[in-house]
Amino acid sequence: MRSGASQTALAAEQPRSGLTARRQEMIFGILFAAPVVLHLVIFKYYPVLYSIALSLYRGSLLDPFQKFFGLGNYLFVLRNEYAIRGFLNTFLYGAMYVPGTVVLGIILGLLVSKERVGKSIFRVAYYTPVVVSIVAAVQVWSWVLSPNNYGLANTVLTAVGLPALEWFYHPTTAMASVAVLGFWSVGLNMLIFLAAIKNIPAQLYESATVDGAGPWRMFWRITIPLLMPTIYFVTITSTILSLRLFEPILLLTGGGPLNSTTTVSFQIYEQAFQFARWGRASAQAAIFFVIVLGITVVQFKVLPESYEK
Amino acid sequence: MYQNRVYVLKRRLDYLVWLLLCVMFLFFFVGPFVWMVTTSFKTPADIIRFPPRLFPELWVVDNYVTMWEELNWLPMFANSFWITGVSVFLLVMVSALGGFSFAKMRWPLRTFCFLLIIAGLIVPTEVDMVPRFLMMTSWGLTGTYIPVILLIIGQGFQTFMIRQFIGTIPDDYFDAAKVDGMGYVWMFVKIVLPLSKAGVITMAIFSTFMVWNQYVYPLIYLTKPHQFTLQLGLGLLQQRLVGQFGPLMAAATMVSIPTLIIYLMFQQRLTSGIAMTGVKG
Repeated sequence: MRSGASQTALAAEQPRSGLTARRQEMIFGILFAAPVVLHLVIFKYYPVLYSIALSLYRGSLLDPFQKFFGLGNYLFVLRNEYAIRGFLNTFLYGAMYVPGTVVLGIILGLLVSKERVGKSIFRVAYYTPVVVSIVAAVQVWSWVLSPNNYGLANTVLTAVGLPALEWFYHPTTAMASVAVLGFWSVGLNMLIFLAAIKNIPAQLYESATVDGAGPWRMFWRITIPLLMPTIYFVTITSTILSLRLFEPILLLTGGGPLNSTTTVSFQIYEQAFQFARWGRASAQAAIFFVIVLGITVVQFKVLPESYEK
Repeated sequence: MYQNRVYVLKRRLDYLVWLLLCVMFLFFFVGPFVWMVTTSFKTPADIIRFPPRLFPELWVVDNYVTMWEELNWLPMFANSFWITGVSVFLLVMVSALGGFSFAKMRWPLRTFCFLLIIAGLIVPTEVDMVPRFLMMTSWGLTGTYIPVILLIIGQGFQTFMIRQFIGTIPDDYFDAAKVDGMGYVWMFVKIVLPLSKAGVITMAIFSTFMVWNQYVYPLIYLTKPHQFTLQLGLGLLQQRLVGQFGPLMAAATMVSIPTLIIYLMFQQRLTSGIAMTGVKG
């Protein structure tokens, strides 16, 4: 009786619900996607256009579009020694950070991939710095890398007979010290490499052992080739990350000493929020964007086709 | 017999070498934390003692008192907690709703909108930082909490990840729900959220770290001292107490404790979550 009633009700509704079902899916589909898509359009794509417009003007604190300036901001940035220094420093950091984080990531990934007592503890411990805020990390490392005798790093150096360093306070060591701070959160890359290492079939190593291959040979002939896709992935992501070096500079060095750590991102912030040079900051951001895009495209181009996942 | 003993010896030696290497790296990754905590309990004279010692000669809490009296931390705790809570809740909802829509629902321009999201990941924050600020200023929103929350809740990466999770839910569930006349809102609540719980929770924890630790946007938009978050307080303290590492380490310890607790509680889930995203690229 009950089932009969509901069946007739269903049958009566059939033509109407067939039409509304599709319409309903469409309406709710758009409704559900709207927040994230609108957010993106309003706060990502519109700002890109806004930024391009800004870069063509010279403005003041209150009126960013005070005077049309054409490509003047771009020409200024490309000829300005300080701005060029920012670009060069950014690349210098990338040149130190990217190979370092990849090699360290592989070494740590290999170490914690071994099924040995204590591996979980090391995994957890190595990743810990990643969850600490950059402000706290900067403070801890400015203490560890203190230029004085009582700094921890200098104590270790002098104990093994090496000269103490001035770390963040000397133009030649400042950027390298910032890279040390970057390496501290290599834990993320370690876990990515760990997952990839775990995916390498164990039989490969077994048959290589039967063939009499040593661990060194197996590392270069099996592990590294099979890790290549992950190495590419980590290289690309950490290149982009390294080019955006900003917060440690803002919090720690302020771009010094002698402009040795001033980076593009820092200069964009500095020009905009300290000097209200919106146009110049935007021009620099646009040039930066083109460079990031260019590097990403080149990295994907050199990527062997078989690695595309 | 002899062969066996050589084998056992070699394995022990292997383990020792491995342990030695691991402990060496431990100094780099965990050493600074230990140094931070022990420094925070030292007297000023003890801090600049040469050669330095790891543990304080005398354990004192003076640094915590100094740091606590220097700034008004309680409102900062409150601000950090509620901003993180509200932002993460909205971020997860926006990403999960979007993920559901992109994974399981059909509507015009869906592929195009999804491509927009992926392409948006390439645009660095440096490009939108300045225009975003000018937009917020013209809307009269600088100096309020709104930009800090609003700007962080739409995340392309999180939406992409949750879409991948929801994509693995079999269509049968949704077909059955449609036959039962279940609406899409209920499908989201009763099917999507429960069945992608693992992914949603992992994402929520990562987002918690991201929001709790953010520095630049609060710095730009939260201009009044009573609006400050813990990270802003820590940054301010660094400027006020230049070189006074005792109180600074005490404050850094205090501000890091919440994330460290959450991390240690959920570390299993988090590490496997990263393994998954890492594999997916």
